[in-house]
Amino acid sequence: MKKDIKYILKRVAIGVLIALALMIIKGNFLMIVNARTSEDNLITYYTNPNEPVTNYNNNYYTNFCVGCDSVEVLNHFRPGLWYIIRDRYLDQENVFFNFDSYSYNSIFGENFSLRKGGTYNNRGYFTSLDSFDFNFNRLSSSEYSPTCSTNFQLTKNNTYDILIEIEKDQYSTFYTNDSEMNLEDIQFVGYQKGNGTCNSSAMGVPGISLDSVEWITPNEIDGGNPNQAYIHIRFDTTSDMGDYTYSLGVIRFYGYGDNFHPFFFNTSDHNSIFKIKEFSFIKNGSLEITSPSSPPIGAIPGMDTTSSEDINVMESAFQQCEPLDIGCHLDNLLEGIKLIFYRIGQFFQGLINSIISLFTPSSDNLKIKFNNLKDLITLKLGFLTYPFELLDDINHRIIQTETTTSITIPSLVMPIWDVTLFSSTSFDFGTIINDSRINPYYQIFFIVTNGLLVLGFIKFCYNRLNSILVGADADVVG
Amino acid sequence: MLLDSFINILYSLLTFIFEHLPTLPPMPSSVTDVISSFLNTLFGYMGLLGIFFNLSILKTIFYLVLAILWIEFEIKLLVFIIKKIPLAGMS
Repeated sequence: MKKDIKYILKRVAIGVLIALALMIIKGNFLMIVNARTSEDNLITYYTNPNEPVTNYNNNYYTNFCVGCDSVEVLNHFRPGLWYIIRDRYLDQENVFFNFDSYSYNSIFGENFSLRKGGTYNNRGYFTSLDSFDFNFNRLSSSEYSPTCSTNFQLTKNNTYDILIEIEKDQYSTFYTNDSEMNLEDIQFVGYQKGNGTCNSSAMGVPGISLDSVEWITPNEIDGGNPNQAYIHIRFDTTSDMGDYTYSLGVIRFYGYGDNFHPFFFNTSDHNSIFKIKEFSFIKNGSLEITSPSSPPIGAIPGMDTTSSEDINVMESAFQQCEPLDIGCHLDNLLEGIKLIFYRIGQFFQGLINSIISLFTPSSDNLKIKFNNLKDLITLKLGFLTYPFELLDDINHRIIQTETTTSITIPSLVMPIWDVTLFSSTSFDFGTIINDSRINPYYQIFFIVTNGLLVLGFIKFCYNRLNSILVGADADVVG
Repeated sequence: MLLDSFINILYSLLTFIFEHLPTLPPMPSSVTDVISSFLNTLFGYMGLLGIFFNLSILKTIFYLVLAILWIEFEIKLLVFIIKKIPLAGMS
């Protein structure tokens, strides 16, 4: 008996040791898997090999292009997602990607920008995962210059505080970190006096000095929404000459002094909260990709499986207790248990995500590989691949078939004696089925034929099922 | 990640094989033109079916029928293979 217990304890101890070792290994393993997941979740685009590469002062330029179709580019890009551009064709250290945002702007009134650079190695890959940060201005052209429907009254020799609430949606990207955005990055200019139309030229002359512009956290505001972003601006009217009605215009930029795109908002009253539907900045033109700074891979927003904010919130729930305050200690104990369960949940969530990512191929990788292989096979096998192309062609034609009501029968001419057997005739069924006397009957006919079609399909399914289950011929059984 | 690695290996292997094959000429355009003009005529009149049936239903059912026939074929093939295994006890 004693021997058995010893034997069991020994096995348990070995098991625990193995489990501990696995946990340590798994910890690292999970970290790697998570990182890879982050990379896989990035949307990868390749530069276009057909675009010319130019050398200017030993810097190489190419145009980034998806199918060389700007509309397609816009349809692909979505604000708030992270993109990485990889280049298979260049082998240089310093590569510039030119973004012709003018053309994009002219299509949809949308723009995007490059905020950060990334390191780029000579194997053709960016080593920094957050190399590109596209910030979209999702405003339509008309929203660039809205009419100031409501203005606010300012009086001279006053200081005004304005809180701007920026509404976030799934596409919004904000930088509330001061190191990323500061007074130099954001400008509020344009105090248009009197009622009028807000536009960039009218708003371009500041009449009042701005004292401060700062991001503030929702916690600092009474009733602040944790899901929104807030900016506090303060300005005074001491240098102004009189009392006016004002409109505010906002310009936000990131240190590049050209191509400002103003964002306007309307005001209802001074010292009030303004809501901006979307707030973003624009930087057009090209940007050099040389910045070596890159945050750790897991720091990509939206990619982390663990929510550090949630953990912080939970950890902040612990109270500083007096030694004899048992209730407080009990509260802390409960909070601790909650936190343990939360972390266990996070662990299993991460584990499941890691396992899923282990067996899920990247759709981008699959697509690119498949297309490349298809091109290669078509090139090498030549006419042998034509049957497959034909099937593909027929499939496309079936998908694209639309209802037509007119038919044109071409003329038939005997080539020898040049005798016309019958001339070209066209007939339009549409005139018949749209006739008010016939149309009601046609509608009934149409419903009946479609019904029969569906019933025929159900019968077909039944026959096939019988054929599989019974093993006999469908027509005999069904 | 595992599947990605597997796909990468398979891709490299197939690329290696196909790159060393001789290049065959493509199908002559005279042949493809004839087939293309035939298909143009055929599918030009195919739209008339829309007078009698709802084309979207028809197309859906067409693809479903193809799928069902394919599944049936696969099941029969599978049963045929299993029947050839003596240990499976189905022969």
